[in-house]
Amino acid sequence: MPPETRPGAGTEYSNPEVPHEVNVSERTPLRDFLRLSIGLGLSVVAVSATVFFTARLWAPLIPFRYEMAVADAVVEKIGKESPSSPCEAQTRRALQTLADGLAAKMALPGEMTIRVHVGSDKTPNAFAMLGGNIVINRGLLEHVHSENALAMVMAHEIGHIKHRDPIVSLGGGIAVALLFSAAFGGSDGGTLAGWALGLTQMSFSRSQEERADKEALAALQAYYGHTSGADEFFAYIVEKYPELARLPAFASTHPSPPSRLQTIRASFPPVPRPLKPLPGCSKGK
Amino acid sequence: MATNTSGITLSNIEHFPGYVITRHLGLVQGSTVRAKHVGRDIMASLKNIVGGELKGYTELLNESRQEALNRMQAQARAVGANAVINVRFSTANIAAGAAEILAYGTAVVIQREV
Amino acid sequence: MADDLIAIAFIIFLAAVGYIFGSIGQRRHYRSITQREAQYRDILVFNEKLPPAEFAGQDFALVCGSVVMGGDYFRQILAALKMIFGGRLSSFEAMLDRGRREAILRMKAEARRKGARAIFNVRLETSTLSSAERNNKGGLPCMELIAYGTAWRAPDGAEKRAS
Repeated sequence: MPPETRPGAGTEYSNPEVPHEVNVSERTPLRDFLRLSIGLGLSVVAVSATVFFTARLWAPLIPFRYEMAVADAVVEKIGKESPSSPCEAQTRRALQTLADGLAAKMALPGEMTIRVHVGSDKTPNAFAMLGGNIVINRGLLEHVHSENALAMVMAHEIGHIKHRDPIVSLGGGIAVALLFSAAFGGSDGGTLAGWALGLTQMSFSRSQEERADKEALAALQAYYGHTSGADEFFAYIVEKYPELARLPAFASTHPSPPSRLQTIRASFPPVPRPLKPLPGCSKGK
Repeated sequence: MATNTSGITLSNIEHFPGYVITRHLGLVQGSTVRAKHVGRDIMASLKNIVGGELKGYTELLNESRQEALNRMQAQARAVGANAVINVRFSTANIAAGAAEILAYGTAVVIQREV
Repeated sequence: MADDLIAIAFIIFLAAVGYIFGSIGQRRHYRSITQREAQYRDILVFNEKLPPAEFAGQDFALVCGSVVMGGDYFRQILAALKMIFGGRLSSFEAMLDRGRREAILRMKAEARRKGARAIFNVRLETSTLSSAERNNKGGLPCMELIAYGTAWRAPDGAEKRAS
């Protein structure tokens, strides 16, 4: 094809300058960066706060087996400490039997099981923890003198577990921890366990305590046929820590021990019934 | 270039004004997988801190592309072609530090129109 | 905890270095691109397959230009933030724009070395090189930008056509 006979002769081929700027939004990325960082920060705070403050509403809906899975990591540690002697193992077994007996009278939801642990702490106290775990401090066993008094404390803690009080108290913290470990990785369960462990000394609300007391009295009534002796531990607390009683009830989220004592004594039978001796292997015998 | 008998002319066009294709000899291809070596990798990751062109990688991939073209031309020469037309490139990330460069086209015998 | 803080501080340091030197480098690169684009303005590029009839019978050759562009930590963090909220990633836009124009310039440079006047059937390709699938564990974005086409010698005289 000779060059003289160009088809479309006169067609001009050229490359005028194109505005390259259209492909790049020329704005300083630093401003974008700051804007986005602040936005992200606020979102994280807002989401965490929402999760934290609404946890009370939806925490009881978390299936109990998830709660147990989280708690297991913590309980491993506590459980391994306790059976150091045959006597202690015997005590633990006796406490577990008592807890099972009480639980049978308390209409717990199907998958819920109660596991009792003996804590080495000398403070007379007991805790309800995540996953149906109850810790009875050795101190408590030394300060109560009847099975009935011990059963009252234990049934009170089972009452908390029945109403999912531990996870409601921890719900906010656990949910935020879950959120963060999901968002930033490193969710090996250990972090969660750490959170749970740090928060085992959880505090329950006044209405939660009152509900647990009521559950406990009903359980004692069903288990022993009466509630005699249920007041021993509370009477001891009132005597030991009189300053708690002087606080006006509205100033504390907990019902004051004297008022709890009154409630318990109001349920007593007219004639005191004989009490059972403390189960297990106590050092007094 | 097009009339050079020793070399193989390359193009990514299929029809050439002023030329006739007398024989179509089928698909030819050349490919190579190259890994960036540690030294380059370290230099590149240092350069990566400030962004911009990673010269080490550019050179590496250019060498690889030349190698792929050479291999493709070797195939073309073997089938008796003097050009490879409609050449296409493709780069694929095989593994963390390795890339395949592929060049392929149609081997032909091309002549100037007379 | 202290380790985490050190790691975070290090990332922030890298991001700051990336931002400062990246910006300087980008400005310098754009200056060089603008200058060379003026220099190679006489080599015309089109992505139509066929050259006009005046190139008929002229020498032709495949020409190719490529560049590998890497992102920096600042861009990476900015991108991670943007991927939450969406929107234009202007820093990556600039990175790819620079790379593509650089690749075209290198293709034009090769065309000039081969004595060509225009490049037809220009194709642009972008491929991801870095391990994007190693989900951002130290994997900064790394792209290869390629421009290639068929360069044609100018129809400038009968003496060439006689060869």
